[in-house]
Amino acid sequence: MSDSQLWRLTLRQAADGLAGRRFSSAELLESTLERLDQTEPSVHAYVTLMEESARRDAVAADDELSRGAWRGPLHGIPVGVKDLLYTNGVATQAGSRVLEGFVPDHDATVVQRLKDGGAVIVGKTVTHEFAYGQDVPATRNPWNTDCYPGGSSAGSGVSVAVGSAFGAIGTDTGGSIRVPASVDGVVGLKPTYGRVSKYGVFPMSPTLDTVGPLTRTAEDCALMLGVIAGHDAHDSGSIDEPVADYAAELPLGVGGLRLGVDRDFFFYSHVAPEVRTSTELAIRQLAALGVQIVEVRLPELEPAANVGMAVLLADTSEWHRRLLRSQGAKYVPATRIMLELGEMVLGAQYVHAQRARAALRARLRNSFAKYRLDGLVCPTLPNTTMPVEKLSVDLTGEGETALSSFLHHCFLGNVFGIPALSFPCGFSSDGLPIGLQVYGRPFQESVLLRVAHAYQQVSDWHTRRPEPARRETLVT
Amino acid sequence: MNAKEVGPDVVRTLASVAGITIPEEDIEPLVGALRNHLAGMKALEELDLDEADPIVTFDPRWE
Repeated sequence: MSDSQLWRLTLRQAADGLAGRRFSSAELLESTLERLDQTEPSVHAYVTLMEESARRDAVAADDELSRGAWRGPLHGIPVGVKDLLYTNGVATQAGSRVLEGFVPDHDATVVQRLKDGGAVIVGKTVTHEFAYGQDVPATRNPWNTDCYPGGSSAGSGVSVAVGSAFGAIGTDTGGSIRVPASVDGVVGLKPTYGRVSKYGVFPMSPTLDTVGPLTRTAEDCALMLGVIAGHDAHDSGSIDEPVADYAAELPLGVGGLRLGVDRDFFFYSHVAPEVRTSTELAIRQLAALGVQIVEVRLPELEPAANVGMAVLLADTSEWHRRLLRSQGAKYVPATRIMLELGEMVLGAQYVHAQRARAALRARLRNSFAKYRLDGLVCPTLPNTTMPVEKLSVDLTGEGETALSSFLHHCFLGNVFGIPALSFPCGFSSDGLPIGLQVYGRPFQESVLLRVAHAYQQVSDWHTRRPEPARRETLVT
Repeated sequence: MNAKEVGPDVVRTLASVAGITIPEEDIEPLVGALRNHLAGMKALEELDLDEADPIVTFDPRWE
């Protein structure tokens, strides 16, 4: 492979190449930046580039490697970071005019862990305003640049898909890692609540927010999670549980694992025929690999989105309380309306939702025990992506919208605090990616990664790379 | 309150109680959004929650 094509490697292959001195971090970065230059006019994944510091960090990484000092699998690897995470000395605006000019004086814990692990941060990736998912960001889907790239971790998903990062950090409060993973054709992990620190991340909800990786393969995801996971005393929601060696556990395979399928809930009438076909086939392939597929009915899933919305609305508005009053006009109107709505959630309603959440969580735990489940499997989303002009994320009207369908399939992971992984399992007839989602027991990320890794040993959907067409105009 | 009973006046009253000033163009979408929220809360009324305490975090330890 020529130096200019190094961006095509997986994170694991790049790490092995660096460790074996077959190429340098500086060469890896230049290939990545060249790819970024080719693709950014079409997809606009980054809001802030950090080329100067990235080149400096790559040289430092090479210097350390030459001295035999290896910081781990991310040493010298170019990565992207969602612009919702604090980066010391680098503009952090969360996609909002409200934060124009804000430059943090410290790093989010996850950013610090990336740096400690030797990662080379290429830049900050585009997010919906404050990750609320109400506006349409400038980023476009690389498989069809007329289409929505998913969100709110839009730039993180797209940068990984096109190869302008080997991995990227996203955040997920109701599906914001898994939605872009699914529609951009990459792997995205929403970890267990408390597994990865959210210190230094602009919050939405203190009990729903999570931070996680987007990568091209399950193996890459395991490597990245291993670097960013772990207890952090700065985050009151961080949980002190041992961090597994996720990559080392991948070869354990999937024989004997039991995954439940709730067809009434996950394959309801809004699931598109091609999504249904691809995901059913993938589930049969998992069964052929040794997974026991168990038909289940879990009524506790149905109310999850209503519970989550009440909590999310009130929590998010509380954090924005001062900003809404002092700078309300600077928000995108749709974001502002959601913040105003959150101010109208009554205290008793909020407590009722949190009580319902506790009851439903107990029922889900009992169901996992009753069916002896290791997880659930389902389509990540009911549909593939759609043209941006047809995108409906408006939650103010009645009926199913794109956002409400995303929440239907994804929000339960946040409401119950359990891990969830999306990985590619096919393409529609018009060339748009389809994702398969696996939910797991708390802190069992290893199981989800093993399932995706086993599937990727017998499929090649994750190896396909988009060549985004150049767009004439950009919405910014 | 029944979701269908929500109108602009209810939104304005709630905004006043919350202490926020809402731009006029936000009123109509907020009516729809508030109706959706109340419909969601109504659906939760049917759940049996006898065995559950709300999820809140309070740790009385000082260290």
